[in-house]
Amino acid sequence: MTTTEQKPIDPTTLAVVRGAFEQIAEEMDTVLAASAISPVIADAWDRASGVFHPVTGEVIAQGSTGLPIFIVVMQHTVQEVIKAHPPDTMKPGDVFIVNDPYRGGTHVMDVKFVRPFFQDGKIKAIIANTGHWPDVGGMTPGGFTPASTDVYQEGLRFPPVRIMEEGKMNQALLDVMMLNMRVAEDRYGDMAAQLNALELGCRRLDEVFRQWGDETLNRCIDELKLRSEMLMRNHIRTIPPGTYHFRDEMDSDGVEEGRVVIDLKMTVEGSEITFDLSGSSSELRGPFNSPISSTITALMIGMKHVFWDVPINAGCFVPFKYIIPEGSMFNPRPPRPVSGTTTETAHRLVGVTMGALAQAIPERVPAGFFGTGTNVGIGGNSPMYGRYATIFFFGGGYGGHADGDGLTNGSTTIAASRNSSVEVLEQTVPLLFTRYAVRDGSAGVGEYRGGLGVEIDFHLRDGEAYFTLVGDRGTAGPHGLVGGEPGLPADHSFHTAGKTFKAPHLTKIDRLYLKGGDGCSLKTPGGGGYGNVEDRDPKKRELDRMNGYVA
Amino acid sequence: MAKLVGVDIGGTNTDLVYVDTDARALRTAKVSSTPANQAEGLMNGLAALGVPLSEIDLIIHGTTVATNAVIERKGAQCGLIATRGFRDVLELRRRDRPQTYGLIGQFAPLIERRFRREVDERISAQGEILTPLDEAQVREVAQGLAADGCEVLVVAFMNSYANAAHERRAAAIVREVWPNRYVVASSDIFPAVREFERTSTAVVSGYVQPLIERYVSRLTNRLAGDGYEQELLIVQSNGGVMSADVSIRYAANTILSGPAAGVTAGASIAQELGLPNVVSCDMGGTSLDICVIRDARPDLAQQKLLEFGVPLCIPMLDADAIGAGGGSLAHIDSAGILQVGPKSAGAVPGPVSYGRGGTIPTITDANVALGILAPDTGKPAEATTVALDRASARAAIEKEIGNPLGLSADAAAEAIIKVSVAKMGGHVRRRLLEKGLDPRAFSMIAFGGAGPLHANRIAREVGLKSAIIPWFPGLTSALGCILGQLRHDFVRSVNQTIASFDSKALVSVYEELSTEGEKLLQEEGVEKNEIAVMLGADMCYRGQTHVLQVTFPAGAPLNAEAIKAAFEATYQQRYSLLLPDQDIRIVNARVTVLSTRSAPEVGPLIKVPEGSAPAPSFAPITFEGRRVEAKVWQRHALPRDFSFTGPAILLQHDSTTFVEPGYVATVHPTGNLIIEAGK
Repeated sequence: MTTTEQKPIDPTTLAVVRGAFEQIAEEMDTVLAASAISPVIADAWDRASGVFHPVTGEVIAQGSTGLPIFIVVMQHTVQEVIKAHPPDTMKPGDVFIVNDPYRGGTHVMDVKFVRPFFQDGKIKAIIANTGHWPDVGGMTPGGFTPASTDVYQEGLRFPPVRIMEEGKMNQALLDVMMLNMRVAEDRYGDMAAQLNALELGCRRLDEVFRQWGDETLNRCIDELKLRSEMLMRNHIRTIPPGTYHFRDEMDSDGVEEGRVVIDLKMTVEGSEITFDLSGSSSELRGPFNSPISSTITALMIGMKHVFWDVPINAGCFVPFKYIIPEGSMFNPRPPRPVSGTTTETAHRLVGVTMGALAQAIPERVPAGFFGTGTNVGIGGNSPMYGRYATIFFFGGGYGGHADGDGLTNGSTTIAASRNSSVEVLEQTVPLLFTRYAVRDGSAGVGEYRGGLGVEIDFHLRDGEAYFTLVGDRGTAGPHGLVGGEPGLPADHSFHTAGKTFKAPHLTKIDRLYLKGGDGCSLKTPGGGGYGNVEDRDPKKRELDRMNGYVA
Repeated sequence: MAKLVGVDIGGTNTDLVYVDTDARALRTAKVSSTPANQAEGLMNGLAALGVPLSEIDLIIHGTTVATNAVIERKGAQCGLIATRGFRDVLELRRRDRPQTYGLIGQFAPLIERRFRREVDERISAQGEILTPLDEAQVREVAQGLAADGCEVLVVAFMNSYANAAHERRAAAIVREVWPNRYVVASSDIFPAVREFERTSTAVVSGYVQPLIERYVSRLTNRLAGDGYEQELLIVQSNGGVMSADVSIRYAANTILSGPAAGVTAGASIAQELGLPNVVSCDMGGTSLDICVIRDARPDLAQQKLLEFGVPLCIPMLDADAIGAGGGSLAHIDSAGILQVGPKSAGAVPGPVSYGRGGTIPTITDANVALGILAPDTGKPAEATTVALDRASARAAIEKEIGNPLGLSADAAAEAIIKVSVAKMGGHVRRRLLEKGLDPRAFSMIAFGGAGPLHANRIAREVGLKSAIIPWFPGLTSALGCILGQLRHDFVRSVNQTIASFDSKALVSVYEELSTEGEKLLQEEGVEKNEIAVMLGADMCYRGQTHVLQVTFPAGAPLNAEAIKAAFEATYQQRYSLLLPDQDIRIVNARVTVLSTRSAPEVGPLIKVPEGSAPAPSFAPITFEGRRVEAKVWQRHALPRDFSFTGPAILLQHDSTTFVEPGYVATVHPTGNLIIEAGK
């Protein structure tokens, strides 16, 4: 076979083109967060944007402030759109909507918009974004429930369909959407924000393609993919070959009492890794199943938290193989419920991945982190506030590591989202918080201790409400490493009608009925310790004591 | 006012500009900074100016004392009194982490936990008192914190934005027992919702206050000792100035004092040239600071993250920095791709070509290697003041960048510049796009030591209309000190909606804030008829989190229709799609008061030569892979209206300007150089 001689791609162009694609993804993220209605998008940055290959749907670049959970998910979403609507049937101005967890998704609240980018009549790239909508219908306001038994209960599902056809809104679809969601006018605002961001993305891509030309860009895209793959392979080669086994348990699946097992065998061979999750629980009755896209993303996030310099594009996913049997909780079949995947299951799988890695390279991996989203959903009616529904969530401690103590009140590891301020919550819903504090003594001790968990007390001021908690990590705390102690597990209690009690599922409770004065006391886990506590710097020990961090 | 001195203290140099408006004289001086005590460098600089202090009418000063205190954690020991259950707000932040990937970040709050204490009190989101303030506890806790060595006390209670009564009462009780006047109530500093941001802002303010007071009084004493009897003004983060006395009360307003002065100068140049849209680009050794200036008014930001977990919410110029300066280091990342910055060689060891031990090539070295910095005209007298070592710069670039990438030294040097210009240009473009602005309508005003060298390249990369190089690029910030107006910004949470509009309540908030501002200006010696008041608000659609800053047109009525119209005009410009069915919230009222006294006109003091241009020298440079001969002139020898085509290099005392081939530069009668694409 003869090919025309190709000069290697010039390194300056490569560097500049990479920057240009990342820049576009970040500009889309910026615009989306700035104009969204949902505080989960605007304030907590629960959103992501990316540029994708027009034929394969592979990710070319994603924004650096986008949520980690979407690094693989978005690529799968775009690929599902391509499967349903081959690129030669797409037209300029088309925008697809999709949120089906079983079509490259997470949970139904993550609503994705996918738009082909055309130039001179040709499709040259696909751009997409996702935003967490506070409600898409379903049995529980806010969508997070520990009690759903099928995905139909969790909200309205969209297969990949056109919400805009050649620039024109699909009004029929929009009308159906708006009728089936709570506070629908806010969702229109979120959709407008997502569409605006895609519009900006198309404008910027237009400039970039005109500046560099298709051929150069396509060669850069191929080269960048290759570079990421090589870099990931080089990192994997530094891990001693072998099989590393890590096992963790979740409190329950929310419906049936009894532990859920996450079991990972990670086999490192040369520059490749095989993740085997076949020892984990079978698909669950409750909503803590993880759709396959979320599962693979969580494994990748675990790697990325250790090898964070690998740029995200399709190349960094190449050196991995998976053994995740269909029918496992990590590869469930429809219509199994999945709404707990992002708050708990995926978060924990990241921890399990890092736990397995730590056995091979403990000097480069922190001890266990808090590992639970501790997600509160509340909806009700109040004389003072009227009808309301909202969700909020809490952080916990990160693990100690070879360079220092863990971070106190870190964000969930599958996200980088911030939580709402107490004052904003008190403006929005009739809750009164009486404590929002560092949880003393919650960190695992060690040469480097874990970060601390958080303690939150609040109650309903008036009216009546239904309160739902989706959490986990109530039985065993985050693991310590190389002689460090584990952090404290979560410890939640509830009080209604003057009685204080724990939940049968410890960290999960579904639609608890509250009246004025009823409420809860939540305590999130601290991170695991790293190294032997005997080796801790006495000065740090003294400071910990003076500041009340340790008992 | 006739004889003014502007002083800008940077990390390396202290720059001074002296202006005598009567005698039409202008002098400059540059001395080394003295980080341990900035006053030292300032006094040295004044001596270098050679003007007797007793003859100076006014000294205006941009300082980095406050910024450095936060970054280096060298502020005052503060104590905090919080609502029972909430002393950890400062430490919990907003549940985040410093980097998206990697779980190893750490954080130390400005006040250690043992100095944060609680008292019984609680106010609701609606401002009702749910638990009365326990005054005895306040007294006891304050005494305890004083005994434990705290110098500053901050009171930050929940929902104090809705009702500040408890905070005020607690602060009053503390003052009875506190040994000094460093008592801060969060609602006095930033009366707006969000406990973490409000507490952090109050704590930053307390943390820097004693340092600013000590610095300012030490400086005032030294100046007085040397015969200076006039006032000292301090540049604020909003670009305005305030008296030294007022700066002690509003210490946190000096956080961006340094960069703000340069932006003010940029705004003044934009006005002088009649340019409605400019971006100021201040590029020094370690960073590039940019700020959008529209109609000669720099954009303001209401919040900045001073570093991870330390937000400050006061009106500040919306200046935004990235780690790209002359000293930014080039390296090959682990994917084998060339990267420039954000790490910098700093003053020590500095670029390789400075010969102070640097071995990693910087942007400066790339320019030296290509012959653009310290051009070789064959006439040693034309070299810049610093001797730069071209051979070692080229060797380092070849070794560190060229060899790994398979590029020649020239190609590698051009790659470093290209990658860094793409990054800087991307930063400029993103800031404009975020604000919904079209780069083609904007000009750049480039200053700082490294700005003029890259202005042409960045302007081309972004597609800007033109690049403007001021007469004294390296002294622009010092000059900006002189140009700032006395100015104060106020904010107050109002939380109204257009649907439930309460005109009376809103008008009284605006009146109260305007009165407070006018009083402050009068205290600083401004006459009532010299005061301008500007009204605005932070607004958003109901349910949105991010607010838009809306400025009300002058003289517009404070009614629902006018306010809604002002919001929609701003929203449309920024995001295009309006949400017609959504109610609109007025979150905060904002009032700016400023002195309308005209700033001294610096333009007439700049003496641009007349007549014809001297013949250029020539120096070989590399541009886009070719060796070309660039014309080389001394900048200040070029006459007004003189126009020339690149490639050209202009030399002056503290800066080098590069004009690319195909670009035309013109010496404007004001002395500014304007670079535009050739026909």
